[in-house]
Amino acid sequence: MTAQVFFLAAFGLAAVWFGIVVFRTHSMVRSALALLFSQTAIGAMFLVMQAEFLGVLQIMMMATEMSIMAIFMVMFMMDPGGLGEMDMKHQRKLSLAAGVIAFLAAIGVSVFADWGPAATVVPSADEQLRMLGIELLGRSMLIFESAGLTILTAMIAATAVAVQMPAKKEDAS
Amino acid sequence: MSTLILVLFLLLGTYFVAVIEEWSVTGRLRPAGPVRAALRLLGTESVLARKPDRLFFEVAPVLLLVAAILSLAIIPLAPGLIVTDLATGALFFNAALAYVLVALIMGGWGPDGAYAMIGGWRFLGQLIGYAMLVVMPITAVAMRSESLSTVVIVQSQEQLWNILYQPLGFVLFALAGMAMAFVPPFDLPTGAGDLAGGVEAEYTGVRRLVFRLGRMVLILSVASAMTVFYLGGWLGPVLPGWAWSAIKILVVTALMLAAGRALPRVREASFLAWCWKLGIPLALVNIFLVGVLVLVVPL
Amino acid sequence: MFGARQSTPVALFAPLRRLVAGAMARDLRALVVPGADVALAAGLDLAAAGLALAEGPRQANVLLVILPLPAAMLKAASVAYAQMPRPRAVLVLGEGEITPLPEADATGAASQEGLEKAVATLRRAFAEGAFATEVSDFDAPALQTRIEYTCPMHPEVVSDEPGNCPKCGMNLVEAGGDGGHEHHHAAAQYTCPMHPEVVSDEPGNCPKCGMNLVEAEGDGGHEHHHAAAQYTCPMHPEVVSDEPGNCPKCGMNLVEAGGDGGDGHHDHAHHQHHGQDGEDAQVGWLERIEPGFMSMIELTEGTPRSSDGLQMEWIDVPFGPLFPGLPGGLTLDLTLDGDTVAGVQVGSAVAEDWALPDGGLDPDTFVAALGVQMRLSPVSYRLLACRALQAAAGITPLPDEDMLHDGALARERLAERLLWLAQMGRQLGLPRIESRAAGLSRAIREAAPSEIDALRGPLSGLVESLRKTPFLARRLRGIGRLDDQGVWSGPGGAGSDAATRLTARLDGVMADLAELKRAGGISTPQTPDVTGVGGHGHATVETARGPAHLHLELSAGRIVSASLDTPSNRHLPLVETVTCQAELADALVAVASLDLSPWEVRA
Repeated sequence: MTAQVFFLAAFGLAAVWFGIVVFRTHSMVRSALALLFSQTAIGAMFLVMQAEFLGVLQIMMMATEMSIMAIFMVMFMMDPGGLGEMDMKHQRKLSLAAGVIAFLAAIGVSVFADWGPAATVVPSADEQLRMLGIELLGRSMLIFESAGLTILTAMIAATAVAVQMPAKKEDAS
Repeated sequence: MSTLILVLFLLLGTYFVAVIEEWSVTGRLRPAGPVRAALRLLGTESVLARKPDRLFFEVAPVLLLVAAILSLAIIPLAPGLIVTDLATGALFFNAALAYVLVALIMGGWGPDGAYAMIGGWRFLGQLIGYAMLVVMPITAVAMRSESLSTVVIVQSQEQLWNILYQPLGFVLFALAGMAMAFVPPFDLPTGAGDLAGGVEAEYTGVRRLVFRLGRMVLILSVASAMTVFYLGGWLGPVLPGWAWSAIKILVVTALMLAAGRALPRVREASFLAWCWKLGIPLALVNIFLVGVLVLVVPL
Repeated sequence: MFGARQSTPVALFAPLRRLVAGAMARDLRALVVPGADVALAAGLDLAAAGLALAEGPRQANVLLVILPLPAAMLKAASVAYAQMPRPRAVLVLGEGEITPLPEADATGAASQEGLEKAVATLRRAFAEGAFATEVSDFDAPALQTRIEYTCPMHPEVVSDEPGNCPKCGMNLVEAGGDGGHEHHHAAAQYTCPMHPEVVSDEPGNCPKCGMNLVEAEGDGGHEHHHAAAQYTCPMHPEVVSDEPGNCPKCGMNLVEAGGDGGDGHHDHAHHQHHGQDGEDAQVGWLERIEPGFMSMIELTEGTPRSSDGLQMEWIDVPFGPLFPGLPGGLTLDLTLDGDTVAGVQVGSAVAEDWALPDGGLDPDTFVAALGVQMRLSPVSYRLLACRALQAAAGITPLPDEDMLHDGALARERLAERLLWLAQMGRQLGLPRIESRAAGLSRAIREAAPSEIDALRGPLSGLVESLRKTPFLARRLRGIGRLDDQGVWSGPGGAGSDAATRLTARLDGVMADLAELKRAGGISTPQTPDVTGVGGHGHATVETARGPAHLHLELSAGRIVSASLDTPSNRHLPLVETVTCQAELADALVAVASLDLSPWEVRA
């Protein structure tokens, strides 16, 4: 138990630290990869909490997602290497306020929400996997399907907005 | 005892992969080649490129090696001969090797060289192609075994190996695996003719040695995964399980490397086109066929 | 050994050092200057001599120099040597000048025997002297003059050595590309807000990020320049000054503000605006949320967009003269937009000026010099010179002898086509094809007529396996298409792409074999005796790359004017056509498919 708590805390601190690094560096690529390792640390926390599938999934997904984010940073930013000492902090007051509120809200939820009785026995990883599958294909299916559809729509919409139509533009002007 | 065998497997496996790799390039089998090359790199200066992102440059080779070794942790060589039999083994394999991409991006960005950087980002493009083709055939494998545990996956092939049960999945997984290990003809991030070494171009000395080691373990890991998922892992007559595993892994490695050398390096654009226009539909067909088979023919 | 690695003389590690040095001696990786193709043309078998080909300078421990070489190539070689990790060695074959390279560790004649002897010497040198307590440093003069260190925030701070900026303590960085980019050091007027090292005479876009260049400090009064110009800091818009200078907050160069000075609306990005209402409204909105936010939409407004719609990712990448996928000596400077080629500059590091010295040349020297310069096809060009001399002197060649010369020409064409195939195999990652083609090319270059018959079988085998290599034709199809290119005179003709050019070259191999059979024998040309003769003459020979022409003017037995027209020189401008907007790998394949010989390029 104590080892579990220790590792949980260690990975939690690592996640927070990498989160801070995101804003402390000048390099866009470093920033993106710091976010990656912050998310990986969260995945490791899942593993420590014996949520094997979630942990592995988090670790796997974040590696590719954040890498893709990194290349977008490089493509769109003029100084991705940070040689010009670019500042990553924008809208400081607003973001500070938003951060504090979100932090308090998270604390509030964790303290005041009714989590029900704590499980005395952790189900085996196999059992968890089966339960997760049944959950996903059962009452949560609608939520997941609509979330997936929303993301797909957003992706298509974003691409459509981003794509320039040079021919059309010339016609208009 | 089993720890010793596993360590031995890692070391000998890496050595044999290195020998086979050299054979695939030069056409000569030189048993002393890898040792000699390793010693040479040990003694060579480890040059730091100008204006590097030092952290990335240093971490990348280590991350590649660690990711590849971690992915080997779920490979069973024989019943009970496995580092950790995770309930999510097949997924874990994938998760560990996702960090190969991260290592290559870091190694590409780190040395501040154009060849390396292009190589690193190219691999990201390659991932967009192969990622789904690694996961989807594994899904079909897991459908048959009704588990993600690699041990159960091997046991599920007792009656019939997956290469015969789902040949389509094997072909897709083999190609995607080769792309994941960036062996020829998918060596876009490191191609000599395109990028003069690409991601590896700026690494010298010990750092290069670690990078090359990571590369060899990665090839070993992908070959092992093919063996476990499709070739029945340790299953085989007469010989003990670990021997069958070793033989199969070596044969798969040799075939993989030899086949790659007979083909011209793929174009990134056509690789993506094939993966998405042909590969993913085929992978879906494979999942469907396996689904029908699982329900109709319980083997 | 001159390129030894420094090590402390700890006796404990001596056996380990010996072991490592011994391994190095038996695992030599060579970077060939000017290129592996020239080594092949010189009849060298590196693998048989125990040298593996290195992918680049970082992977090499031997620099194999095949002389003679022009100064530009030696300069590139010295840069490559400086990049090689120690322990490293220089192996020189042939005669000639090697400065600025350091002294050679082993030398030999430019023959297989000479190479093998030199490698043996080198092995001993490695085994005994790979590590030394005292090592001499090598600084390539080319690098010394090029590297300047400057502070990213204080561009006026320039130092010869890396270190920290005296003003702000930041690490100094290498000043950007001040080698071949003459516009950087020109009389400076415009600069990029993000890249202070980019300075240009003309307004335009930053080559690094595509932003509009702004007027730098010390600008000599531009026409639209208001007397009361205001200068502001790109990072701190609240800093406004009447005079150019540095920002007191961050030290960056101040840039000219939009001339609307003093209205309290200190928008640093405003100076690039075209004053449209919509944009102003947008700025106002952004200003309220975050004052001083550097919007890239505004900064890049109006700049030309590259094909993918992004402006800020251009990099200049040199390929060659020592790039493994291209002929040695060819320099290809690509401006890459992502991995698409946005611009290209092609040249040769081994080009010679073909001007004759005053008073002309005597024919023997001329023929010999041409043979030395055209390193990949000496026989063809010697024959060309001889035939032109004969034509100028009015000598009718004997038909029998002419046939034998045609045989020599066909043999060299064959060797050249195989050389190209080896190069292509290397570029596309087909090591089997590469080694077979290279071996055959080497064998056939000096083969006697009787030996060629024995090579027919392997040759047609190679051609067959190339025709059957899966995906090869598909890989090459559509790359480097030459539509309506009258300039192209090489294999495949107009409208060909890399795939049809490969097929045409394979057909060429079979045709050359037939030609060899018809010629019945081989004899290399001798310089005709043209003592005291005068006149004009013209000759053409068909090389593997296309026809080469030579016009000669003889006066009293001396060549007083010569005008040489080589296929590679004609085809060089096509590089731009075939690489324009191509993906990087495709662009390299396209350039290789043109089969350019940098030796045939006129300086």
